[in-house]
Amino acid sequence: MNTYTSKRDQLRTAAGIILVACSLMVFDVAVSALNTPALSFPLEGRAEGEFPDQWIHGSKSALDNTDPAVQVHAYNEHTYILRENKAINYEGAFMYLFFGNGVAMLIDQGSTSSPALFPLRQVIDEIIERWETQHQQPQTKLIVANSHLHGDHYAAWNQFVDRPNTIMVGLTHEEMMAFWGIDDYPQQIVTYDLGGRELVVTGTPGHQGSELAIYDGWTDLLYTGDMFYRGRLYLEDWEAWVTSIRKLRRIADRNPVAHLVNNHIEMTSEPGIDYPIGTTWQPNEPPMQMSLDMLDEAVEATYDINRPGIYRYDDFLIYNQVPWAYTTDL
Amino acid sequence: MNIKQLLILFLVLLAGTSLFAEEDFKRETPAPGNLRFTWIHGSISAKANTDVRIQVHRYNEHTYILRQNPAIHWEAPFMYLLMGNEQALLLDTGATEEEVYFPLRQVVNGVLQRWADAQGIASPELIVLPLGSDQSQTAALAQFTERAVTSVAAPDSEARARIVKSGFVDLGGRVLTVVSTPGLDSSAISLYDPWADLLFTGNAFYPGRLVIRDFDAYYESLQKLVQLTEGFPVQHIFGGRIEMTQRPGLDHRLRANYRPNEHALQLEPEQLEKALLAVRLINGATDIRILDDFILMHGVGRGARDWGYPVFIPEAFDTSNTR
Repeated sequence: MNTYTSKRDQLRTAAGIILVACSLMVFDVAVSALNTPALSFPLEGRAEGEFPDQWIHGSKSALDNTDPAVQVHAYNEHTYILRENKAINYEGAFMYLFFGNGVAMLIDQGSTSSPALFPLRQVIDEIIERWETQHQQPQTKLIVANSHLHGDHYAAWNQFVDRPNTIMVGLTHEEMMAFWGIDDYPQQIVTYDLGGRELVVTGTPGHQGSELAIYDGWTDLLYTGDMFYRGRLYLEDWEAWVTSIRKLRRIADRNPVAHLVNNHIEMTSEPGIDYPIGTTWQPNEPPMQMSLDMLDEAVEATYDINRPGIYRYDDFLIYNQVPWAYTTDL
Repeated sequence: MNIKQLLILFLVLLAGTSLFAEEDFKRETPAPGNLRFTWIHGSISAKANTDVRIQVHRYNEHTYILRQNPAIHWEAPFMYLLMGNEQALLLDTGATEEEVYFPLRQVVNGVLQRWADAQGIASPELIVLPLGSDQSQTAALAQFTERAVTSVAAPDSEARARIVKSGFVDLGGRVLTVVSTPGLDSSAISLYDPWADLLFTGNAFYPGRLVIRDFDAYYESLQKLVQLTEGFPVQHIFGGRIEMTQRPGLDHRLRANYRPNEHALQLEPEQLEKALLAVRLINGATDIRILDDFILMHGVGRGARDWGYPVFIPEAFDTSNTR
């Protein structure tokens, strides 16, 4: 009897402790939720965004250029697109900054290393600081990632190595794939959770052997890096590119796509006419974003082309196994 | 003669030398010149470039070499300003039209004024003579159309045709020979200066990609130039651009506006002979010949590369045998 009572008491005490602990936990979670309201990135519907009417596009005399070193454009409140000034480097590469809860991901770091000439770190720090204030998100972690391993897209990577609260994905194929959790490159399609924002990531080699495409289900943007953009698509591995392009089409079949976004603009607004390599002034650029019709055109090209050479389409040129330094200048 | 007479004679002579400080432009040896320095060659970021817009180099008292900053235009062409007793001659006018970006007229005015002050004469009449019709030789021509005491001999103009037909330009004591050198550019001419023993070849022969458009004409032009160097002493051959690097056979990419380790501007008669030999070997075929100091190209575009085998020509993939 006595033992029974004492056992019941013990149980009661234990239950009490658990109850208090649980309520404390609930309280804690509720308070923390009050401090940092969770951002939601639903896959249903589409988070709309805007592109600028015109990107900075260099100037006739690069010496006299007055644009900022990096153009910062907010596509929407959690998606930023950046462009390097063509007067600093003719590549005029685009960079992307995606925000999730407590985390920001910078994809690509431009074509110029020197922070004095191209202060990317400073620009990114300012964006993150502003975003943290706007959305009451302290302690945002930064992930420095890359679309592929070419020097015009990781030149300013060095500026982030000593940044606190930062994950450097790395500039080798192995480090990149380990970060995304891809162990069967390129065919594997993985989903990555960027602080509640779901990204679909898959290998898209052809232009470069470690390239990735990223689909953001919240904005419905499909990011195709250097393997598909309005310009000269330099393909070192034709068969790989064929597979990659067709896979992108399948991803677009299964997911709604608002725009295809990418890394460069090399075309003029005249169909089939490009600005030659090295151009530092592109007053007549088409928009950067592309449509699914253009992807269809590329898919069609994968069935038509069977030998190396230059192939001209309205919105892009295919440089199949043509060295990048080859130009069509007369 | 007493002291007073001597003094008067001395004063007259002194006045004479300053008033009529004429150079007779006749000497046994070539007028010396200085090339011991580096040309401005752009910077990693053109936007952050801090060089002058036009580099002015005084080769000797009456010969100036000008270079356009590559951060303003990637062609970064050279221009030459030569002075005689009566006239000054500007060869080529750079690659940018706008005076605000590329103040060629202002710089030429400054050089001429300083030179005239040193000579104790008024600023001389200026002849503006492009050595060819390329954009990088004619862009700033319009800056000179309104200039006082200036004659602009634009390509296809009658003034230029007269100069070419006469075969010489007399700047007053300094008489330059004019040779027509078509092949890369149908209106190309070269000038020989027997005072400083300099040959100005513009874009007809320079350390870069020489794209032959008219094979027979270029072969003939090179023959003419080689004959000239055999008959007359030539110290340096000055061209219109530099596209080669210091590494033999390697060029800077087209539109590169940062060019460290550039090849020297000047070429020697020996290289002209090498070019003639290479052109003879091309013999009208589609070919790219990479020599240490220049690249000769025939039947392909300016941006064709030597990569691939035998050279990278996309159309070549459509033929079963490229050689």
